[in-house]
Amino acid sequence: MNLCMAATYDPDPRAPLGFRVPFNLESGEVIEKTLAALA
Amino acid sequence: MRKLGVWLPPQYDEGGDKRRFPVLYDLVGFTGSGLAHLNWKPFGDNVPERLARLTREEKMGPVIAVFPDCFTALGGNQYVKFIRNRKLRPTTSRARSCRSSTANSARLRAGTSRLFRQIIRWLRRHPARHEVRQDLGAVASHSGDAAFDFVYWADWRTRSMSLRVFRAPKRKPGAYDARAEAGRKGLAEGLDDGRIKRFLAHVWKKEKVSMKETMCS
Repeated sequence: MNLCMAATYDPDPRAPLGFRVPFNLESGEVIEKTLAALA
Repeated sequence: MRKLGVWLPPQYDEGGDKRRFPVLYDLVGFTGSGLAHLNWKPFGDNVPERLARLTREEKMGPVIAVFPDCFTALGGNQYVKFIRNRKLRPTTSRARSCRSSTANSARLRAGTSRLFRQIIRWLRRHPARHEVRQDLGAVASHSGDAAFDFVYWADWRTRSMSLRVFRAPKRKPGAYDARAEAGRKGLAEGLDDGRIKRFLAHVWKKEKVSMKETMCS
C-alpha cells in the first residue's frame, strides 16, 4: 500500500522507479520535503 | 485489453436513440477493481443492485454506470494518470456505443479510499486544465483516510524494516554507522537504492502475496 500511495502522490519520472517514497529507506526517517506531496 | 463493466438503467431502451444518460464512473480503492463492485455481496446490495434500487425508488435518476479495471502491479489504481490521459472516456464510447450524454456536466466520478482522494487533490490544483473542464461534471470521494501523512506516518518505519531484507549489500553483524548508511546517495530524497525494485520482483513472482507484503507494496 505504501509504495502504491507513494507512486500516486509523489511521482517523479527521474526517480529509479518513477516515484519517491516519503521516508528514508535505511533509517525510516520521514523526509520533510516529500511529506508535503502527501498532505 | 481490459474488461470494462457497464450497467445500463432500466430506462435505457425507453425513449429511442435520442435519449442520453449521465455517466457515473465508479473508481475503487487499493487492491480493488471496478469489476469487484459487480460481485455478490452479503447482507446488502452490490453497486449495480443499489443503483437499480435507488433508481426504482426515484432517489436518483437513471445513469449509465461504468466499472473500470485500473489495477496496477503496485496493487492499486493510478487514477491521476488515468484522468490526465483521458483514457476512459473514448474507450467507453467506442467499445460500448452507449447512449451517454455528451454534456460535460453529465460525466460523474465517484470513488473510495486514499487513491481516489488524490483525484480530488489533483483536480483542485488544476481546475483550468483542458481534461478537467472537458471531462468532469462532478466528483465524489468516499474516502475515510484523507490524511495520508497522519495515518501512515507510523507505518513507514515498519515498512523500511520490511524492505531491509532486500537491501544490498546485506548488513553485517557488528558496528553499524546508521547516520552514514542513511546518508547514502538518494536515500534522503526518497529514491530507491534497489531494494524496492528487488522487493517488487520478489512479490510479483509469488503465487499469493502476504498481508505484510500487501501493506508494503
